Amino acid sequence: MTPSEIVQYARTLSGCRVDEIPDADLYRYLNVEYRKLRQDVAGIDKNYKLRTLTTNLVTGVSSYALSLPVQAP
Amino acid sequence: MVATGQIKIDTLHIKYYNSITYPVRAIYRDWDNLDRSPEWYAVNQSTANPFYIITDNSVQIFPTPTDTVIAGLIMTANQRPYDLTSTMTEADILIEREYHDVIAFAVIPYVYQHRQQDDRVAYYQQQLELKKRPMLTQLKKRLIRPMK
Repeated sequence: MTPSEIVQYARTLSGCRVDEIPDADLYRYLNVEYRKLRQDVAGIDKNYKLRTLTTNLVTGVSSYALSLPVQAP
Repeated sequence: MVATGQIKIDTLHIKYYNSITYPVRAIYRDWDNLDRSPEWYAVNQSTANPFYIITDNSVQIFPTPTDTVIAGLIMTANQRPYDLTSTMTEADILIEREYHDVIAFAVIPYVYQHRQQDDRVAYYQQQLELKKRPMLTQLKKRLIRPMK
């Protein structure tokens, strides 16, 4: 599901219309709970990996740019 | 490679040659703690014992590859959480797809809080815990399987 589908699904489950709680508020609630769930998931084991990234190795190229900031291990 | 958010690299493996079957794990080294110049390592570091450093948004690997290998650089990384917005895609959610309904379910107690129906808040919080339990159990089981 996309985030907007998740919000829509939450509306369906709870019978909550946009005029009762606007999207902005639901997204705020969603993000609070999303972060908690993420912590639970990551907390299972610190070695749990959420992403495997692969790229092609190129002759003579030692530096590989990622499209996002990177932290050291 | 990946779209959104900051990542923290956990492991990095390199397959230097098409002729080898398995990639080799590279270790992380701090730029400031290199004994020799990067140029030296680029040529002389063994492909059996590679390392990498991080510069801004890039990873720099040593030695420099002398072969072009499809998917020769493999990283596992934890991605730092960021707020979800209406324009994001499914892939932006850092919880696996099969558990996205749990995220939706987690919003429901807030709806009942808004409606000031405390009994329903408590009920849906309990329901959420029940939904979370199998998710965490399932994810834990996966840890013992080899990563693909």
